[in-house]
Amino acid sequence: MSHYAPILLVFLMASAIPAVVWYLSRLIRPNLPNAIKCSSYECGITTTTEAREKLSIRYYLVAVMFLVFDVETVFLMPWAIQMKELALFGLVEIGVFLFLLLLGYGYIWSKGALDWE
Amino acid sequence: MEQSLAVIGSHLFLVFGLLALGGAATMVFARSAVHSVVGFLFCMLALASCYLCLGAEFLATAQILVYAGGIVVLFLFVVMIVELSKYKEQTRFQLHTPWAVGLVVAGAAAFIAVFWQTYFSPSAPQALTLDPTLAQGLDVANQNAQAISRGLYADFLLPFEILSVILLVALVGAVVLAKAERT
Repeated sequence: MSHYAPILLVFLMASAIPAVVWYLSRLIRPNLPNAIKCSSYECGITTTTEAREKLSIRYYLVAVMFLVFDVETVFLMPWAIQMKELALFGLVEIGVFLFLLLLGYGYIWSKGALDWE
Repeated sequence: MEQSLAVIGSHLFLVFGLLALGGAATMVFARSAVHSVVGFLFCMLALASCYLCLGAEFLATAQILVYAGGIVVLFLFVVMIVELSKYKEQTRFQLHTPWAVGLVVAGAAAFIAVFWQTYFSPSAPQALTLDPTLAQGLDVANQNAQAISRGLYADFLLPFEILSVILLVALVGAVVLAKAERT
């Protein structure tokens, strides 16, 4: 457990640095707000609409597909580290698992969900 | 100083647990949906740290990969896609509040009972661990991923295969819903 202490330390430092910098800049900078400065920044152009508007469902589809195959990859890892011990049995098992997901892959491909049309 | 650090170190699980609760509270009570997602991310990272404290390194990594990586992005996409401003004035989400509160109270009571039993009862049972027979011949402190692997691929074979069907359903469901939206 103790060998994770450096990670915790890095994490704490990484969180502390932006906080400190932000606080310091707040101490030093002049504070003269006006309507233009307080409006949301959109590359210097006057903002036309709110940030919240309906976006294409395709983004969501990509996220779900990513998530499913992400979970699949996570489950490959414990199999891989015990591959020799699990032998043929494990190979068949992971084969069934992968085959079922491959079916899903074929389905989304055939439905054109991978095309950005 | 050193002594207090050591005390904190031995109770890191509690510290991260409280942080996770804080993140969860932020998620529930935040007015802005994006703040909710950030609270959720914080909660998931704290949970991963809890798993690390319990010595479940693989689970902690998977937690970060799947929840902090995938699910948070998914939630952000939902925030992006759904026009939330429309629902501000509607009460449709408030119809189930009494039920939700009741469920939360029941869940919290159960959780506190388990917590009390594990931490403070005189005959505190062993902390929840893997089935010891799964870890035979393994140094679980250093090989917990192997222990999980044995559990997953030997003892709980059918649930594991069903899991792939659930993932398949998620894929097909997402495609069907998105297609219905487009036509």
